Amino acid sequence: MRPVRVVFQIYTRRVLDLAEAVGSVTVLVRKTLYWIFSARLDAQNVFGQMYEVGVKSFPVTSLTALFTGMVLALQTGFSFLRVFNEPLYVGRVVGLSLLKELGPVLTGVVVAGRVGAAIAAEIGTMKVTEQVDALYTLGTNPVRYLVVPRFLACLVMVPLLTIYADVIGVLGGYFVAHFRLNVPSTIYWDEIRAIQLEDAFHGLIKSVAYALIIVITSCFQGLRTSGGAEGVGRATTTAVVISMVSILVSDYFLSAILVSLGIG
Amino acid sequence: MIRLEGVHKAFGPNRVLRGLDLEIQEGETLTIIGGSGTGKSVTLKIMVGLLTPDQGRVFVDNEEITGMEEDALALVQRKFGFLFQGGALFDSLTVAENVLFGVRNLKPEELGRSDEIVERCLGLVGLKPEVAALKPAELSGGMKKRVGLARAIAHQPEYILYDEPTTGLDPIMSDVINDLIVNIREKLKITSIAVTHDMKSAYKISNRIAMIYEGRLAAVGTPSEIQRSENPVVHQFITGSSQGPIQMPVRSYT
Repeated sequence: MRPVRVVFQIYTRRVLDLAEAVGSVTVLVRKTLYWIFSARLDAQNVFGQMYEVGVKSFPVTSLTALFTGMVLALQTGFSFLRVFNEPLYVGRVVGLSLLKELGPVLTGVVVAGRVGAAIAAEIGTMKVTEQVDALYTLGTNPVRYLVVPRFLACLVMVPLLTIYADVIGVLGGYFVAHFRLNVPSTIYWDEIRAIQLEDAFHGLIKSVAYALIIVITSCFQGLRTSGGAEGVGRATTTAVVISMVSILVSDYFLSAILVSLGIG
Repeated sequence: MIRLEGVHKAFGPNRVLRGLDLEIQEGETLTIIGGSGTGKSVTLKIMVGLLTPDQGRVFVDNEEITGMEEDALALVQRKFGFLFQGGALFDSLTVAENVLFGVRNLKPEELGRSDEIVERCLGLVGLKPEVAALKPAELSGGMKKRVGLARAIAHQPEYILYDEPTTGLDPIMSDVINDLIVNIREKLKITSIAVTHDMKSAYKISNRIAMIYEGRLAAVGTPSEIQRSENPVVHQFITGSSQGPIQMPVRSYT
């Protein structure tokens, strides 16, 4: 009987912890929206964060997107070559895969790893060194000062990075399609042009959702950090893991919802 | 005036405060002493509303802050300056930006004379104006405390709270900080509450000393009354003896 009770207690505790975390995240989102609409925005801080989130993510996003587009073209081209003796639909497959799935998901994963980790570590360090408490005593709400600029920066820059990744990926696909598989340029670009605007919109909506997942998860983990350097490490890892897993899991549900709504 | 009535605070199973009553009079410097983990810093954070008590009431200038809405609490928090244990300086900002941080938010009308404010506050804590351009990473431990103090007084608070102001400093720098605390009280007439283990510091800076033991107030009095106290808990603590009613958990390696 005793082991059963222990297991029951452990699971009860976990369910309560999860419920508490969901409640706390909801409160954080509410406070963030409150400060966005009720106070003057610190433009310098917001632009600084946009630079951190967006501009500094360009190199890693470029590499990821370029090689994803290239490998997509290579695999598609050779698969069709084997079946139909011709590399058909390379442009269409590369374009649709990138715009609807790989562009937003890979950008989300890259940003979660680079920016999400940085946000959780920076806010976590501020928490354990009492800098967050200091903000209160100096007349600043930490959500307003720390979360709002990062929230807005992610909300603007992640979709922009996604568009950029789509373009770079399509270009990468073109290089392989044209120079390796000998697909004529006009055919590749005609297939890209044939992609509907809704397909691009499908990916952009997802990228906004991923931006929200990354920034809220990372800020939340940072603000609840405790226990010194070890706690900061734990918060950073947790933020990245939860963000990445949430992006991948929500991708399916978002796709299902968007497709059922006729968006892409 | 700050008043705590029957304050309880627990962190999980650890009941830190168990009915603390304490009153701080206007203009005085009260030092809270007690062993590690007895809730001294928790008490400071409860006074300024950074932590909420599980039970009990906290009054600042006869206004109850327990259960206050965030906006109203922010107005009360403006009355406080807080010197955190490690300084809690913002790493990405220069010393001048740190000093002006509170002024920017609480007294923006004074930003026109920001250079003057920075120079005056750094001067009050014995730092030269050249320090203003440095980042916190370029400062020593003692300088960080002094900049933290300059930042805490820059917006001219009514109360200033010192969390372990001399911890981690050499004896000479500790005495410099003690002199600064006394100096600031005399020049700015601010009510001060300090938390420390350092009895030399407590005797030097305090009008009154309060000792917390087992989550409650064990004794309160002037430094000379505390020095003469026959309370065994107080006596053991101020003499730093391992023998007495206060039992510290010691791990055996034999």
